[in-house]
Amino acid sequence: MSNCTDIFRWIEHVFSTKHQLYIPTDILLTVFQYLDGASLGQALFVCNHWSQTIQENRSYIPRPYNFFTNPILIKGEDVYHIVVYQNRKNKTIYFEDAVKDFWNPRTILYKLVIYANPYAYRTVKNLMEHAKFLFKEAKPIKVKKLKIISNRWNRFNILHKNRGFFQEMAETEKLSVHDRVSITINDDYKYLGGLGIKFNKHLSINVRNGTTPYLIGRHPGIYRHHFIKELSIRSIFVRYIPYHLVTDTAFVDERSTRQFVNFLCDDLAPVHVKRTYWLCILDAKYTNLMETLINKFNHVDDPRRFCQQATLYVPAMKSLIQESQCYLEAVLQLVPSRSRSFLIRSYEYEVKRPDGWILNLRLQVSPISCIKLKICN
Amino acid sequence: MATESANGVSSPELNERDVVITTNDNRNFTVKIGVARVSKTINNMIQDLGESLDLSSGIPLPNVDGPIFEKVLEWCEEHKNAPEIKVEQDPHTRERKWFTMTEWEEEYFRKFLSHLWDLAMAANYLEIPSLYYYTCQKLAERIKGRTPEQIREMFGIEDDLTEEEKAEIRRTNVWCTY
Repeated sequence: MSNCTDIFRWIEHVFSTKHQLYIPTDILLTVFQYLDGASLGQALFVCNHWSQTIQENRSYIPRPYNFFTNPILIKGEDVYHIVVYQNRKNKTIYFEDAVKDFWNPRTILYKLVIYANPYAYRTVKNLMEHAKFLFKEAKPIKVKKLKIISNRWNRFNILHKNRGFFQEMAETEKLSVHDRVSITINDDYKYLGGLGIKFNKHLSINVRNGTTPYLIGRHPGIYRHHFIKELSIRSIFVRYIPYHLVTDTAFVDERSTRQFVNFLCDDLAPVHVKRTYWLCILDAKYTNLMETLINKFNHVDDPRRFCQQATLYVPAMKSLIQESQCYLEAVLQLVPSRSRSFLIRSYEYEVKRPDGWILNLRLQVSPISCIKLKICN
Repeated sequence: MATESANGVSSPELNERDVVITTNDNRNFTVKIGVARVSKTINNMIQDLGESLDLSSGIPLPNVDGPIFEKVLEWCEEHKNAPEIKVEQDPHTRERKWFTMTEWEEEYFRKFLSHLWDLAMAANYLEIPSLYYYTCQKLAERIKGRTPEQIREMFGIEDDLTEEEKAEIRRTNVWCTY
């Protein structure tokens, strides 16, 4: 009996002693290294010293991983989509800002898609730098798939060269990239621009030549996505490919694009499209086609549909500047026709190539008008 | 008083000799050099002093007190011939891989459960990796799955964070909320 009392007293003593023990930071850190992310989250609130130690040493101590089986995703962050625009001057700043704005330790990169469709070698290099930055600085906890797509065959050397970086990173796991990372340089895009469609940032459909209706009509996921948060259509008509491929490719792409938009508007008939994003790299001869398609999409008689943002890239040869300007004007008329509250914030011209004029016209809708649109709907 | 010197510091015979170690509360511990050498700090002292080492007059340990050193010695006695431990971590989460403890080690920590922080500090000062990492793991085991209140209660830590500071922590460390 007396023994039991002693034990209870000892336990009481141990648990009730309020000596404020100072624990050196290095010891605390070692202890924290044996904790999982969730326990560390709790330890943050124990006291000031613990909290500071954890926050100041975030890069050394474990990070949360408990959502591996139960992922909590923030909308729009499950996929980080890197596109380097030709007419972005401060590319690095833009990208770093984007990471700071949107990055969150909870982010899982289910798919990181790097589109490399630039004209300039320098741009490809920048693109790779962005990707490296993402891994070095943002440190994603998990990347399921890393896909590098290029449609410029003569840029493949740099992609291959940089693939080593990602491959090595995945193998050595220095940057804690998930071991299921697969790095693909999509050879399908070697010569062909093709058409890539992304739904809600996690369903991606790549339409290849001649198979468009089949793929789109039977894609298992497409009918579940009547609410389309973001629709991205990339239609790239390649001019710098071997000559014998030009005609077929152009024809198929034209047909594919038309079929897709028809399908989208008539068959799928989404009830709500929050944002439509058109990225078109066109020869001037396709201008009419794209205009028709955009027009069709934007003028389906459904008041719930609206377009928050329309971005158009229209490169044209020097002799076609005049036509492109006309085209821009056509678009300016087209977009407000959906709603009178659209305001055009900016558009810009840029000349990129020394061997021929490329005119980039960027059309952007102000965020204020987007808010107005939301109210309207 | 006969003075012994530490000739041939690495020789096996020397490991069988006794050395006196004095803790900060002036307690003297007579320990076999082979046992004391589990501590890298003491081993370095023995090696540095070399021939000038006076085994009988003692090695001072100003940062460790008697009761804790007694517990440390118990560990050293058990681990004097143990191989160096290997610290590994999960490449994805950076979480350290946990050691598998023997029955003796489990019992050891059960016995000294209330002195884990002191043991960790002593092991850190004396550079005994096995005791240090095992103690830290044991501490983590106690912290794991507990709320901040329970942790404070267990270790007698005062809550010196204000509600504003906690809100700020929540705001700046989104990861801590799940």
